[in-house]
Amino acid sequence: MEVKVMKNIMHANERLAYENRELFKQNHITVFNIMASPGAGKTSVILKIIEALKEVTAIGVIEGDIASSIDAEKIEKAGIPVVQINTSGGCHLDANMIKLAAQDLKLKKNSLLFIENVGNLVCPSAFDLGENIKMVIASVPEGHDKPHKYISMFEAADVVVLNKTDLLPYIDFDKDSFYKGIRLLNENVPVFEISCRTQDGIKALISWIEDRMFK
Amino acid sequence: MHEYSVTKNIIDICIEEAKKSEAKIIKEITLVIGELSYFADESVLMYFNLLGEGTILENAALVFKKQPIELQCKVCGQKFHKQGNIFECTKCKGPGVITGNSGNEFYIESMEIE
Repeated sequence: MEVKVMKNIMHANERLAYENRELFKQNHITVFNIMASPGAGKTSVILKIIEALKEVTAIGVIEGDIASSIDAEKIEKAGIPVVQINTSGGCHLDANMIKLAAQDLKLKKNSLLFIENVGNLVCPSAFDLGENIKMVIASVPEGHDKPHKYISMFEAADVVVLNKTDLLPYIDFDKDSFYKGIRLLNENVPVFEISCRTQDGIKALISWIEDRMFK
Repeated sequence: MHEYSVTKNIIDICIEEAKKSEAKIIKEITLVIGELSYFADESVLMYFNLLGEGTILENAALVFKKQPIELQCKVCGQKFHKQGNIFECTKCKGPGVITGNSGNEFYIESMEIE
């Protein structure tokens, strides 16, 4: 006898992600899931956003790493509430981790929450955390072929940031190929070219984020 | 990716569904796996055989229904599947874009039980 099941294999995570999403929505918290390879600039981008918006709105950060609190310490130094998750080998964050971290963080209503995922262009895209926006950060030194190789990540992105544009004169980075790879997977995704080091392009990214805050 | 925990999820969901149907044995499980869902069939089969031992799905067959990414040509509108890593339209060689949520399927479709 055939029995229809029609259940997502990631059912348990999906359910927790849904609950997270509802909680964030009720409290008017705009949540970003920031994903990238190690070293692409996740923490740097968050720090730039904090610098621009901390007088405008309350901000909270959840840091995800296999080990250490290096990134959380940087956020703390910037005067922003932060919780560090250490996954002890886990290569991505999941909805349950975020549920628990958000409780520790005591998020304010009408605020921004940035979740810095574990450095990894593969696994995080498969785990809904309850976020509003998936931000994928690529960087110039990684090369222009990342959207061609990591198709799930770039297909899932709600916004793509290309960081370290100050290094373009020194690296063989084919922008056409980079954009082509993105557009095939994600036709209309906004792409922001920035340099955290020189401040180039940061204003436009901040503006885009402000437009998406819960009003 | 994460084939152990994915397999455990599959087993847990199927056993729960089997209880609802008062099944004695699960003979076959059909999974729908999209091309964008990283999934290593052989690893899942290996874990399934290990984790399924002594349960009602011990000898169940796993059927993988693979769903390719559906693309639509920006030039001529033709819908097609990519050939290897080539996203070019099979009709006019124009660029294709992914349609809807295609390729992200990752679910248990059905079970054959007794």
